[in-house]
Amino acid sequence: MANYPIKIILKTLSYLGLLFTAVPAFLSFHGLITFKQYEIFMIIGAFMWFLSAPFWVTKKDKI
Amino acid sequence: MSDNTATSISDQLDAINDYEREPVPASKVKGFKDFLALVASEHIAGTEFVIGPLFVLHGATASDVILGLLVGNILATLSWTLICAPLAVKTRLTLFYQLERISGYKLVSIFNGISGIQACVFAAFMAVVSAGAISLVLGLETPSFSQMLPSGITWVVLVTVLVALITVIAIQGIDLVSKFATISTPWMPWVFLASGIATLPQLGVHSFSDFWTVANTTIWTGTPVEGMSKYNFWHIMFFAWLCNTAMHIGLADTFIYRYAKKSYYGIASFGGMFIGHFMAWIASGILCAAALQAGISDPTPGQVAGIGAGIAGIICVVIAGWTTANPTLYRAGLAIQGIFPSTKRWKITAWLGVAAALMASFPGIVSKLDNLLAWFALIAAPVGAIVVLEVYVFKKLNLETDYSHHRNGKMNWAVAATWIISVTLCYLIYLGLELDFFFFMAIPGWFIAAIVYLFLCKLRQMKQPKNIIKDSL
Repeated sequence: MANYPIKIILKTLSYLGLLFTAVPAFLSFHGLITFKQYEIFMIIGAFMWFLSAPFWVTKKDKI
Repeated sequence: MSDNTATSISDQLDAINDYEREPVPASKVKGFKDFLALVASEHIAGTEFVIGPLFVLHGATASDVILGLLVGNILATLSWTLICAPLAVKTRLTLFYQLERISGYKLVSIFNGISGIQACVFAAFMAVVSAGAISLVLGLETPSFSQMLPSGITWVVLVTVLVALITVIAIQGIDLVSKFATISTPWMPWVFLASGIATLPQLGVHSFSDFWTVANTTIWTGTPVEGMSKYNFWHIMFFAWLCNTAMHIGLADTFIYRYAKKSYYGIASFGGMFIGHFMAWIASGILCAAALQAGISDPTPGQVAGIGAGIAGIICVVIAGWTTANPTLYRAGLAIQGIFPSTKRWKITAWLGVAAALMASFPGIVSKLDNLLAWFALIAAPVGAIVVLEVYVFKKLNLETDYSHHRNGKMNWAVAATWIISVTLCYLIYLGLELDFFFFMAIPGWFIAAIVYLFLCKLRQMKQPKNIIKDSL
């Protein structure tokens, strides 16, 4: 288990990864970025999420 | 295999078997948040990339899809909230044990077998979906999913390798698989949402006010592609309601909800339904329409996701297929092992892996997903009806409950007859009325089963005295 400040950084990276996944679609929809740029943001978002989330996302309860 | 791994597997199996043959104690019940997270993740899977496009290919209209999904998902949520969760909280038993007490070991074994085969078919589905996405990335020939026979040896080798990996993990590492699913679940819905939104301009939607016009003229046009039957509101509504029949009115989710502190926790299924079975199905439908517009007449889930989000979309398909296939094959092994308790679980899972690889070699099975789900819905519905009657109605009518349990496991012929009669009658009605969608029969099947079982039990009790052994639970 990561200690508290590292956990905060990891969580921040994860949530930024989700933002990078969700927000560029709206920017692309409104023509603020190209579809290609949107695809690149999606890949970056995926990597940010999958490289940080495993360290803090855990199953709370077994049901 | 190391000692640690062996201990880990043993621990996992112990955890899964917790309170399998006794009510969950009050000290072990869980709060609402646990159920919200669990059921939301359960309904965001690789199948969403297959089902959304089905509505487009079957020529549903936009209003059919939106209204059908809205009503169907509300009915599904109500089925969990009003039937499955309250019954689970009342008895705090699993469906399998409840059914064993009612019908006897032999009949439960048959039900276990069917559940195992269903899970095995699903694992094959997911392998096909993942293999399609991987072959897209590797530039291999991807067979069309309406093509029943394998396209070549490359496809067979790819699915065999993929199923072999899934099987090895299903045998050894369910904990790792669960963790991976828990990690990927928060990310996947955003990919669905993002790809749907980002693809809309390709279809001619440049402001949200354009959406409805384009939805009717380009996405859900009302015209099925060649070789597909026509879907309307009723098809969509019944599909959304009953694609999880085994879980809600079939009561398989009593396995989860017996841990619920309150009976209303079934409402947590709302999250899973409206993220996984509303937003994701609509998004994947939009992506399918974009694929059709790009000249792909029979798009695979990998192609659909690739159009919407590029490599990230394809990664999402592989992960969604993978995270669904692993626990599904694991559950298939558990179910079939119930029939052959002396055979090692890993051997059964390995054989199921072989069966899944054989099925996955034929990519066309994916296009039959809706039909297969409908058959399983019809088979599961009578089981739910029988258990609901036993728990809520029989004592009020002074009818004997848990027949088999009170007779040292003797088979309850009334359950067997009810099952056979209700499925047969439903099939005959389906043929007689020339219906084109088997899902229409799951609800009549539930009520036919309830009436037949009540009648048969009443008849039996008139001939035999009621057993007076007190319930030990």
